[in-house]
Amino acid sequence: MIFLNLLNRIFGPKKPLSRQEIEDYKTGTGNAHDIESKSANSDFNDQALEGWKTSSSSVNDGMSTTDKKMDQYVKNGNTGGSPNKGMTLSFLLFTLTMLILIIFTYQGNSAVEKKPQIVENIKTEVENSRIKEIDFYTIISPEKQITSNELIKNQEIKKVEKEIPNLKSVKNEKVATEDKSKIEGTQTEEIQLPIQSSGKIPNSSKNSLVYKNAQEVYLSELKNVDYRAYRNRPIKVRNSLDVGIPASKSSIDDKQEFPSLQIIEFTYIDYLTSSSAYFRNEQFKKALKQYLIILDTYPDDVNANFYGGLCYFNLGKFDNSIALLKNSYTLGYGNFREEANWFSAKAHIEQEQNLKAKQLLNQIIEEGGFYHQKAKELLSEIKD
Amino acid sequence: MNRTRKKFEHYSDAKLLVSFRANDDKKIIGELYNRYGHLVMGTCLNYLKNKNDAEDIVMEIFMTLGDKIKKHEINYFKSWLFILTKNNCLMVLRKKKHYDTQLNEEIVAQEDEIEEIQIKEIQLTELETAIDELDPPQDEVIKLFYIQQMSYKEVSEKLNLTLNKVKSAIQNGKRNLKIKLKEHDLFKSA
Repeated sequence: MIFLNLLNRIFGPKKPLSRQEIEDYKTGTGNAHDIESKSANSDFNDQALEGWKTSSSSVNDGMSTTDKKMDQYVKNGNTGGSPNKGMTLSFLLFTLTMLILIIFTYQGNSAVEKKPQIVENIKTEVENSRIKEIDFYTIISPEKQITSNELIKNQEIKKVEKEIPNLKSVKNEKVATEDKSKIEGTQTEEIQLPIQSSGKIPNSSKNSLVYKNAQEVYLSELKNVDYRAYRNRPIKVRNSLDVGIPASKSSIDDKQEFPSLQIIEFTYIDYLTSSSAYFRNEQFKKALKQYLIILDTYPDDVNANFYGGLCYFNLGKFDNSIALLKNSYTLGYGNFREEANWFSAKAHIEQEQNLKAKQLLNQIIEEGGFYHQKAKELLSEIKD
Repeated sequence: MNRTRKKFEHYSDAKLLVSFRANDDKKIIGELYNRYGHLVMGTCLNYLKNKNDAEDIVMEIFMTLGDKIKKHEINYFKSWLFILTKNNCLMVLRKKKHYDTQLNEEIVAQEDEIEEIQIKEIQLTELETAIDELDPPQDEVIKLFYIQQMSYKEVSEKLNLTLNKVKSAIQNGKRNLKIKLKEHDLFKSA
């Protein structure tokens, strides 16, 4: 038993030195042998004991700082697994931030995108109301209407006049005799127009302007300016949901789901041909709708302005008619100038704007064109 | 002290490590600090002779202990912690260029941790003979220190040796005693 105790003392396990033991050893109050025995059995104990022996402070004082830090660390700090939690939290925070950013960005974009959509919607509504309004127009009496037949007839007469020089020369002579003084006056003006007119501002009356006739094309026998070389943009037509769309798709939602059903694109010439056909068949409302759509894409289009003006005329909307006819000719495209003035004069008469009508008629007479004779007759009929 | 739990006080070191790996409970680190913090601090003081440096190393060791426990397979925690402490101290000293000792990366269990089972197999009657066979002053020092249970100071005064020589004689005597017991197949090789 004695030997067993001895063996245990020499080689037996020793517990780590406690703070109290070290402190006791330092102060010489504890069992020195027991403490040294532990120290002799463990380098850790031995080194620690030696370390504390050299320290001037007590073990508790010496450990106070690290005790506080450890308390704080254990209470709030991270253990080995906590960095993972921290990483998870960081990841979640990052994901959340990114989501918020994406949502805000998306909302911002939506807000930006909504603006033109609203403008587009308003524009569409205005167009729709304007187009629908046409359905309520009343066609004027057939005697007053400007029909395609009348236009075609006039065109043929013009052609014949060109083909038969004698007739033309006779006619020209007649015109020349009647308006000799005025034509001379025009020629004189042309001579006087140049800048060398002694510093005076040149007379810039319309008569002095030279209107060129562009190449023409006949659609449904009606004269049109041939724009094919210049009209690359398609005519975009909003498909009316009243026509051709199944009832199941006629809600607003369906309209949004099938945007391709809303807009149909036509080439300019196809759409103009179709419009001319309507006009030729005296379907002025349909024709007008199409001409107005052409004007949405090409506001300066002389074909749409001229025939649209005539449609308005036949539908009794003389103000609109005059407005379009006024735009139906330019210096480069003077093909409809004579007709436009003639029918504008008639529109003014319908509105009892005799003064304006007379001005136009006089202009027609002065120019001695195809309508000058008719203009004379009409002018004589207008009451002062 | 709220850095540990009552139940952990009864856990062995090995059980604490297993528990930490399973639960990630930082109060286990607190319990290990309670057990060994002052030894780590004392060791650091012994090497560095500077309280602030020693405190820094103590905190660094225990704050990174959780990661290391998960990362390493630790058989003898106390020995492992001692080597870890020594290495940290040596690194600080190396940075200060005051010390140029090779770091000891090898974790070796200390005697007090491995001899618990082996000691039961020693034939008790052979022990006295083995002690007598030790060279002087190791034989006398071992007898006075372990049998007479004298302190270092008492042994040094009795044999007229310095304290360091007493300590050295105890360490060397223990080592030689173990060798002799092994020679007689009385002490299992570690």
